[in-house]
Amino acid sequence: MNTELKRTLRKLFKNPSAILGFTLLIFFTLVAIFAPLIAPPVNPMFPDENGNPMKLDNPYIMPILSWSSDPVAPSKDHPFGMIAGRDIFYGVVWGTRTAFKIGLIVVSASTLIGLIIGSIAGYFGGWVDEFLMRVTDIFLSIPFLLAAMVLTTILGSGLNKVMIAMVIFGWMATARLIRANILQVKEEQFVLAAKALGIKNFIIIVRHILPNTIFPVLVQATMRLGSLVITAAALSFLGLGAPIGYADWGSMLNYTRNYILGASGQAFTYWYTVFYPGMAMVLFVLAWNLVGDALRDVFDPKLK
Amino acid sequence: MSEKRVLVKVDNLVKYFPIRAGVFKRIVAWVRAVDDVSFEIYEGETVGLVGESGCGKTTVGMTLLRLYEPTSGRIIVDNEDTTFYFMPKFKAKKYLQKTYIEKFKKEDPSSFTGIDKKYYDLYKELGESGFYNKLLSELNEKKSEFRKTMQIVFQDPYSSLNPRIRIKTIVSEGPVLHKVIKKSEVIDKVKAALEEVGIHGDHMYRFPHQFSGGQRQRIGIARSLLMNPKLIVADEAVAALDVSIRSQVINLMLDLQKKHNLTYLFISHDLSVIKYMSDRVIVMYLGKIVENASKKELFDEPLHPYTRALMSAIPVPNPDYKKKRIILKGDVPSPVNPPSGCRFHPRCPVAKEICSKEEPQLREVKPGHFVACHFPGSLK
Ligand SMILES: Nc1ncnc2c1ncn2[C@@H]1O[C@H](COP(=O)(O)OP(=O)(O)OP(=O)(O)O)[C@@H](O)[C@H]1O
Ligand code: SF4
Ligand SMILES: [Mg+2]
Repeated sequence: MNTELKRTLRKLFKNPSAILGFTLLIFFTLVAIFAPLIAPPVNPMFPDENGNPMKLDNPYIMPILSWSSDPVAPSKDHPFGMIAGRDIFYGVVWGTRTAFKIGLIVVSASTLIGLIIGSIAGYFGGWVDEFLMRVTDIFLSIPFLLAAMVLTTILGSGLNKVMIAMVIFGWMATARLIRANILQVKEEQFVLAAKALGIKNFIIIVRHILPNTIFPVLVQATMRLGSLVITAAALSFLGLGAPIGYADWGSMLNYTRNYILGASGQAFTYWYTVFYPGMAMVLFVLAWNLVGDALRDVFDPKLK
Repeated sequence: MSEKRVLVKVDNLVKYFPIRAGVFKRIVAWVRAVDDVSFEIYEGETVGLVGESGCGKTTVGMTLLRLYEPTSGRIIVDNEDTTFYFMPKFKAKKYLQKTYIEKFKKEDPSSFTGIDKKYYDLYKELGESGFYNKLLSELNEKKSEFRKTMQIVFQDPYSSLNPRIRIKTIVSEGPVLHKVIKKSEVIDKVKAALEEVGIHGDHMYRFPHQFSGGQRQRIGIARSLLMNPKLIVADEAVAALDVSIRSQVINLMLDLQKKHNLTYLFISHDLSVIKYMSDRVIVMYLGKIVENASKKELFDEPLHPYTRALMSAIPVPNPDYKKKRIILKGDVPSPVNPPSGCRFHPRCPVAKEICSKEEPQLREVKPGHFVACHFPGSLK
């Protein structure tokens, strides 16, 4: 196993796109972890009695630093510029945490649901499978944005509600994938041998089937992690997601709606309002995709 | 074998697979993979099960081991009805009612034999509800006993071992679960079992991909062996191996049989392997048993036309001996719509009118020699 692990790692680090993916991912992780140091959650507009800037109650709400809502070009104090009175640099840094939060929570929850539903359907087959797959089809047939809008009108808007919507409508691909894999592995003779040995169903699934089927699911989950941030951004852009001023890349793009085309005759005047949050998002998606790709190569037994 | 004891008795075993189609996946037809077969396996013998591809050999083996649930029929192991062990409780009770209670209430008790008699005595002693309680109690222990008694060795050495688990776990998982061996003895017992099948004991920490096909097959045998079974179903256990390795594995199985007094149901489409291994041979055609006889009887004087045709296809080592090869016309029909009467009649060279109308029953035409044919021995 150890030699195998070494071989795998060596292979990973020979692949330039894998290196890029992992580097970006490590970078984002560091930014997320050290956000309070990189962009201290304070508001210098309101000093306390000792003259220190006021600490923010909720660091995810970007402090308002100026009463003008028009974009302000990058400067020494605000390297990414400002919009709606808020510092874009601050938003991008703390938005990294939001992106991880959305991605990790939604992906783990929806993958877990998909895993359970898909495993039960695939392993037990028959009417159980039939029923669960019909339910999956129904969920798949509902357009996600529409469903998210309906759900947020019922539950109320906000980032948590959007995440709930993304979990409720995010498990189907995993369920289908794991079911298809299980159907395949279930016919393998080692599964039949385990049954003939009287091994309990639960153990057969956990010990014999999932380890031989789970890697494609992990790869899929990794890839999805990035794209979920885009989905969340789309919802924020529609005003369903994070509240106003929340450090979230999607919501920040929402501010730029009025400025995307720049001032008349100068299309790119306010480029920084779109560029920095947009770039963060693109690189985040890219990182997860490259990592997912690398994992696929590693786990694919055909390439061993 | 002086005194023959029945280890497994299969009565009227039926296994149909549904064919589903359409949006609602409704059942549109049935594959009659095994259609009413009965046979016995005696302790210590090797029964060869032979027939063309698709005739239902694997299905018989898998149903016997309850990897498939039988559609109907009865499977008696060690003089206990095991048919209901894997059913939900209400179905099990219904099964017992239909199979035993109704019969006990209607029929003359003096006509009961074997398991019927045993269970009738139980019913007399305990009454109806006592009978159910007794048979339906301790089902987990009974299932465990069943799993210990019957094991299987599969065909494909590459698919029969989980690639992500070490040999030690693969071999000891079942025996530990059923308390055949204690957790503390795992290493010693696995080592002994591996060495018995010709694998170095220290290799128990390896993964399956570090072994050759023949070695993997040996590991599969060790896995079954450590359960301390009475019966091992070997489904094409050597078919996937190279010829040179094949005979080694066959001889290993024969050695183990002597040492552990094992009983084998040896499934193969290869008559020469069957001839080498078996004491008795069962021939299947399209889900039915057509002939069941001792090896000597069957190879010396096959009575069913289908068996004769199969025999004529075995290559003979002596070229001077001219054997008339019987070529069967047509293909094996589909088990979805099997032919009427005798299922072999569209291809049988000696079929008569009655053959398409009446189904021949499996009859004992000579002591211990069963044939399902209206005109046994007529194809020369
Ligand atoms: N799980 C299943 N579902 C549906 N049909 C099946 C299933 N298993 C077997 N069958 C069908 O039942 C029939 C008997 O199959 P079985 O595998 O028992 O034959 P076999 O004698 O073992 O053949 P082979 O020599 O090819 O292994 C075949 O027609 C097969 O297509
Ligand atoms: S019953 Fe008739 S068709 Fe069937 S094998 Fe005998 S002779 Fe042939
Ligand atoms: Mg088979």
